[in-house]
Amino acid sequence: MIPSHLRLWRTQIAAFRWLPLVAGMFLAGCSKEKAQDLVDSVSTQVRSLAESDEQSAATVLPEAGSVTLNLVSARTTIPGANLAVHVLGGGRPNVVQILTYDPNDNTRRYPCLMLHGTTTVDNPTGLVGQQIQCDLYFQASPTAPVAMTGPGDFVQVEFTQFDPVEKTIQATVGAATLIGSDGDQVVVGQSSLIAMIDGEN
Amino acid sequence: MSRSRPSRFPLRRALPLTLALVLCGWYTGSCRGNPSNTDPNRALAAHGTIEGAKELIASLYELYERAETQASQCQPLRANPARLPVRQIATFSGQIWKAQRDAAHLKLMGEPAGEDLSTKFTLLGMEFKKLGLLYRNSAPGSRYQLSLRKQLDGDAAKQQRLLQQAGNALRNGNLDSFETMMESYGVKLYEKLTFFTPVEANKFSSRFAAMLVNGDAKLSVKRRGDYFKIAQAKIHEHLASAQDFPRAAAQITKEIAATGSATLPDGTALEPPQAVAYLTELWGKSSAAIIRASALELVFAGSGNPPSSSSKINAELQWLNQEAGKYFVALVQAAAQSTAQPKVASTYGALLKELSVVDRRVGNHSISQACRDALRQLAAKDPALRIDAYERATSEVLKWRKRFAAQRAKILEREYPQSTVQLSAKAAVKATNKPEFFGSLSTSRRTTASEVFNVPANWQVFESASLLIDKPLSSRPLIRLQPNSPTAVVPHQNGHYLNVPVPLPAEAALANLKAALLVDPTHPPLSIAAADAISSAQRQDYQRVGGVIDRIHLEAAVTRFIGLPEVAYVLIPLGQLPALRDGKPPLTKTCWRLDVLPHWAQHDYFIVQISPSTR
Repeated sequence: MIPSHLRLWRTQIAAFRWLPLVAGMFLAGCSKEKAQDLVDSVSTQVRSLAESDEQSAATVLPEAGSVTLNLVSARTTIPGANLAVHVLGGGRPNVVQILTYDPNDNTRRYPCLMLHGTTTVDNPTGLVGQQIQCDLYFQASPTAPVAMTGPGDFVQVEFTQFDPVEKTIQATVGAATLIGSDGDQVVVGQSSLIAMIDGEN
Repeated sequence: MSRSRPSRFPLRRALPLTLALVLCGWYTGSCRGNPSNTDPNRALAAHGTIEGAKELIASLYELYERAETQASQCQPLRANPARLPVRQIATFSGQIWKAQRDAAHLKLMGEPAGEDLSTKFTLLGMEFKKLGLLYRNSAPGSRYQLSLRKQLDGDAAKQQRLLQQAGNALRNGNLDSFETMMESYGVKLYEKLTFFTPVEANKFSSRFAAMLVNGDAKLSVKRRGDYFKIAQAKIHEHLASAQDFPRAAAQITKEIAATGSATLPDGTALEPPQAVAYLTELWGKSSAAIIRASALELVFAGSGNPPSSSSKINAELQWLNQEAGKYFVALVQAAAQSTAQPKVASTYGALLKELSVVDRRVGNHSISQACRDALRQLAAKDPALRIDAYERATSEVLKWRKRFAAQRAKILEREYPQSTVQLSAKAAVKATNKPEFFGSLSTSRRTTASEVFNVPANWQVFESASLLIDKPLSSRPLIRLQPNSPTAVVPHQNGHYLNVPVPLPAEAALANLKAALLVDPTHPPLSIAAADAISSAQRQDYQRVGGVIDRIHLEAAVTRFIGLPEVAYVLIPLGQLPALRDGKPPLTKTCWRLDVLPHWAQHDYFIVQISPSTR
C-alpha cells in the first residue's frame, strides 16, 4: 500500500494526466541494495514534491507500474503493471500482454486489468511509437461484474516512452465502451499506464 | 379436446417439421413417435425385442380408440339407458377382457406400452361395466339379462367340457392351445357377464377364472424364460459389436505408427486427427451398444431368471472405457512417432481439436490429459512450435472470458429455472384431455412431469404440457448430435433430455474468440483449452442453454435406451450408463423429451443471445 505521505503523487497524476507519467519502479525482484537505493531516492523525490507546487511528472515515482483507468464513474488507479511480449513464431503475430496482477498467484488483487493485443514487434523496447489494438478486460472487485471490449471493438494503446534504466514503458489507452457481464455498458475515457517490462520472452 | 396455439415466431412453424424430420432420422426405420402435446394419442413406441409385440401394441391402441369413442357416444344415453347399444357394449366388453390379458402379455414382452394399455383398458373396462349394469337395470335390459342367464345356465356342461380339455392341455404342457381355447371361450363369456353384478357373475365364471389363473401362472413362467433367452441373445449381439472398437483402434494405431496414416476397409484414408475423430464415433457406437444391452438386461432379467448379468455389463463398459483411454494415448504416441516435421504443427493443432471434442462427450478432460505427454513428444519435433509461449499468451484471455461468460449466464439463469427443478415442481394441472366420463380434472398439486406412468400416457402428456409449454427453462450441457446436425441435445438426466435446434448465431463471437486466440485457417490453437474453445464454438457445443419449451414428448425410459441409435450416443456421457436403476419397476419409468426454442446459450468463453425478432 502506498504510504500516506506518498499519496500526494496521485493528485499530480490527475492534474497532468495527458503528460507521460513518471517512470515506475518494481521493487520486488530488485536486489536488497538496489531496493534500498530506490527507497531512498523515492523519499528524496517525494519530499521535494511536497515542498514545491511545481511538478514534473518525471520526478514522481509510483510503486511498481500502474494503470490509471479513466472510468466515467471514478478514476481508478491500479498499482502494479507488467508488460510482456510473447513471441510465438510460425507465422503468428506476437502478443502484447499487460497485467496488473500475477497470473500464477491465486489470491488476486483487485481491481485488476488486462490489455491483450497483437504486434509484429518482437520485444518491448520496439513498442515505442507503436499503436496496438487491444482487448481490455477489467474487474473492480471479486464480486463486481467483469467488463471487456465487445466483439469487433478494441482500445487503441499507444506506447510513448521507454525508460531503459527503470525498465518501464509508458502508454496512453484510448477511450472505449466496454460491455459488462451484468449487461450494462462501462464507458472508459482516455487513460494511461506505465508498466514494468517482464524479462522473459 | 384439442388444443391450438397461435404460432408467434417464424421459427416455431419450421421447428416441428425440422425436428420431425430429424427424429425420423433418429429412429432407424419408420417414424414411430411417442405421445406429445400436439399428438397425445400416439402410441407409446415399442422396442419390439419379442416378435409380434409391435403389431399387438398397434392393434390394442386402435381397439382402445374405437372402444373409447363408443363409450363417449353412450354418455348422452345414460339418462335413457334402455336406448344404450347393447350389442356394442357386449362386444367391446369381451374385447376389453382379452385386451387386458394382451396388455399383461406385453409386459412380459418387456414393453412399457403394456403398462399404458393395462391402465387404459382397466379404466375403460370399468366404464363398460357401468354401462352394462345401467342397461341391465332398464326394462329391456332386465329381460335381456334373463335371457343371458338362461343361456349361461344351458352353457354349464359346455364350460365343464372346456375346463376338462383345458386341464388336459395344461397337464400335457400345451400352454398355447390352453390359452387359445380359454380366451376364445372367455371373450364370449365376458360379453355376457358385463350385464351381471360381480356376485351374480361369479356363479358363471369362478371355475373358469380359477383354471385361467392356474394356466396363466404356468404361461408366465414359460414366457419369462423364453423371452429372457431372446433378450440374452440380443444382449450378446450388442456386447459383441462393442468389440469393434478395440479391434479397429488396434489396427489404426498400428498403421499410423508405421506409416503416419491409416486406411479403413472401405478405402478411406485417416490422418491422426481424423483417426481420433473416427475412434470417438466408434467409441460412441460401442457405448450405445452396451447401453442397449444394459437396458435390455434391466427389463428382462427379473425374478425367476438366472442371476442378473448387470455386473457383467458394467464390467464390459469399464473395460471399453479403459480400452478407449489406452488407444487414444497410443494413437497420439503413434502420431508423435511417425509425423514428419513439416506436418507437426498442423497435426498437433488438429489433434488438440479432436481430443477436445471427445473430452466434451466424456464430460471431463481425462482423455486429453492422458495424452499430454505424447502430445508434448509430438510438439517437440518442431522447434518452431512454441506451445509454452502460446499458453502464456492465451491462458489469461481464456480465464477472463470464462469469468465474463459465467457471470453473464448466472444473471440470465435467474429468469430460466433449471429443467430438473421445473419438471419436479408440484403444481395443479391446468387443462386435460381426459373424457369427462372418466372423472373431472383433479385440482391437487402433483409433480409436473412424473417419473412414472401414473395415468394413461395421452392424458399425462397433455396435462403436463399445460404446465410446461411456453415456460422458460435452462439446462446443461448442450452437445450437438453430429457435426452438421440441426439438433443438439442436453443429455439425459433426471428422467428427461432436451432437443434444441442449432446452429445458434455465434459467428461474431467465434470470430472474436479466434482473433483473441491467434487462430486462423493456417494456425490452429496450440493448447487444449484453446482447442476446446474453438472446437466447441465451431461445433455448437455449449455449457448451458436457456429457452422456452415448445413441445413435450412422453417416452418410456427403457424403450428409449433399448432402441438407442448410434447417432444419438451423446444422449449419455461417454463411458456411462443411463441412471435407470432406482428401484422403480422399469416398465413404468418415463422419459420426457423437451423440445426447446433457445433464447441464449453459454459457451465456455462467450454468451450467445438470440434476439426476440429472430427467435
